[in-house]
Amino acid sequence: MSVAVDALETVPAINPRSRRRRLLWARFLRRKLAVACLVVIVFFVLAGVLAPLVAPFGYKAVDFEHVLAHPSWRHLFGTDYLGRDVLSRLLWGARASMTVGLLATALGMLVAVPLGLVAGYYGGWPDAAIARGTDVMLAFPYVILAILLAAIIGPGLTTAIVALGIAAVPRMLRISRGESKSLREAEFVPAAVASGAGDVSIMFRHILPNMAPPLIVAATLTIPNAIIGEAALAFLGLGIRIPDASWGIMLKDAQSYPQDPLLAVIPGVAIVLIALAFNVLGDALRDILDPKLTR
Amino acid sequence: MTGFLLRKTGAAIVVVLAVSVLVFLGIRAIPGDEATVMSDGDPTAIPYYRHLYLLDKPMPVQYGRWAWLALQGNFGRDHSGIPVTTTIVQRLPATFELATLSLLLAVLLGVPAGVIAATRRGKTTDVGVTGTAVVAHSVPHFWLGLLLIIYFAVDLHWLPATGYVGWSNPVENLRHLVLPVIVLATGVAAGLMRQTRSAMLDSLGADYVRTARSKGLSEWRVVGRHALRNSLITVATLIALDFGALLSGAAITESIFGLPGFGRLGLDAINSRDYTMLQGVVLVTAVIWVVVNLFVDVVYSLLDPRIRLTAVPR
Repeated sequence: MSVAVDALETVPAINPRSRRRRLLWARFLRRKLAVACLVVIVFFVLAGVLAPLVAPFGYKAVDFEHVLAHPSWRHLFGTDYLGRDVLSRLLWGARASMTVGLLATALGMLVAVPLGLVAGYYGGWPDAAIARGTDVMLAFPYVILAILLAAIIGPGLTTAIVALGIAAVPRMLRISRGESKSLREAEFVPAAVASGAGDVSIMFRHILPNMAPPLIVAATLTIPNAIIGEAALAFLGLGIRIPDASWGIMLKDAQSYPQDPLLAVIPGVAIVLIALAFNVLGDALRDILDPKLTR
Repeated sequence: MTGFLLRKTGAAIVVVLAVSVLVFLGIRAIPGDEATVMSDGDPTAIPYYRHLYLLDKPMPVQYGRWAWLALQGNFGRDHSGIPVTTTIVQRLPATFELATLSLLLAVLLGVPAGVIAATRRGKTTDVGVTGTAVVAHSVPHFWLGLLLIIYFAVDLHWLPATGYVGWSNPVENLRHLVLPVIVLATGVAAGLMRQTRSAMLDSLGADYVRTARSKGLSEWRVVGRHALRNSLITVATLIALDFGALLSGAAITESIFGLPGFGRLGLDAINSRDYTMLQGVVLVTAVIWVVVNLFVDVVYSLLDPRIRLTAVPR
């Protein structure tokens, strides 16, 4: 017995999992656009993480001698109405944007995936109850949610994350419920039952890993919505507050200086670039991870 | 059919009830109640306002009274004493007009674009249309609004930047709505295009399309009569849902363009800390969405009777 196991373990490199992974990587690298998107995303994440180190000025550093300055070597993207360096604020804004984009999506998944698993696995009344709950959530647009939350806990990063996280729940719930429902019929479920696995173990150890591909795609496509939502909430004064930097706040400030359109163009282009990168990457991931959809 | 209707209506009522409880509790959770706001720092006035807003009664009594009056269309009075219902009714026409025009433009752009992309799947046209939709989906509404104002209103002086003129002056009315309609329609059109494209791809791959082709029908007839008609059911549902979203979710666009619409009321209410108003607005927003959904479910089941049998929650 032990001899046989040893023999199996010495067989080199036919681990099917790592082979599959290498195959997926190869498929991904062949798509130049998707790779470019990943580069853009990594760039923005680094900008957010390294903002305190690479930003030439502080995001609050005012310079009343150079107010509304045009781009120059000193201020690559010019300065705003208080003489704050636009490039520095852009980098700090990336930090807020990435934080909210990633955490709101994570929060949405954390709520939606277990509920979807249960709803799809059991069906019946748990499914119906969770569906009604989703209907209730859908009845609150994220701006309304953020308004309520801002009134209760005050505007800020947390308000933006929670409001956008809840807004992301219904879609992810629908996806995980559908996956859980169809995977419940897979052959490995009776096999797991036969080997004595309970419901919880079947759901989380057998079904959950198999729904990873559609969930990865859904998460990638939720992040850009959350990023845009963060900017919108900051713009409305419900998200991150002044004097902190957010692309939404930069746009809010730019609203008062239409004669200086660069102030409105720069943060907006940043939002479109990162949102586009996530959206295109998500579409590409769908094609790569789920080939039956494309053919 | 009656059973289906009853089941759907019952579910909608349960959702509205749950929503109303959540809204009520949400408003109560705000630190500093209505009385604190209204008394304006005068502690002796607080008990008076607590009594006036029933805040001295137990919560279930407060909820019961509010829900009972709300059922009759009475959401109480705002800080200046004007009934909340009056303000909501005044604000609805602008939002309704904005939503209708935006949806119209979005359908005119999105649906044909989706059909064309599907029939030319994989060709340059498809890649171009789909790519445009992804870009449009990645552009924040309010930023697009800002740029349009800067360019068309401030630089070129072609269109007014903000404000709203009633229907008595149709030309000015439309001139004020051009930019906000473009802003709202862009996002909706992008979504409709993608959904129309995928619905069309589904029906173009169906057996009846192969049959139609093998009968020797022209491509035009196959696409128009057979594939499109079968995709329209799905697309129509999505259009209705978009309308619901536009009615309740135009807050940002309305506030950028200074439109006195319903979507903006919530923002106005929180800025003036008018909780009676906020409570009414949030409830009405949610109810609009639930009603639109119920309507969609019913119409969908009329168009496609199979849905009645499988009408377990989606």
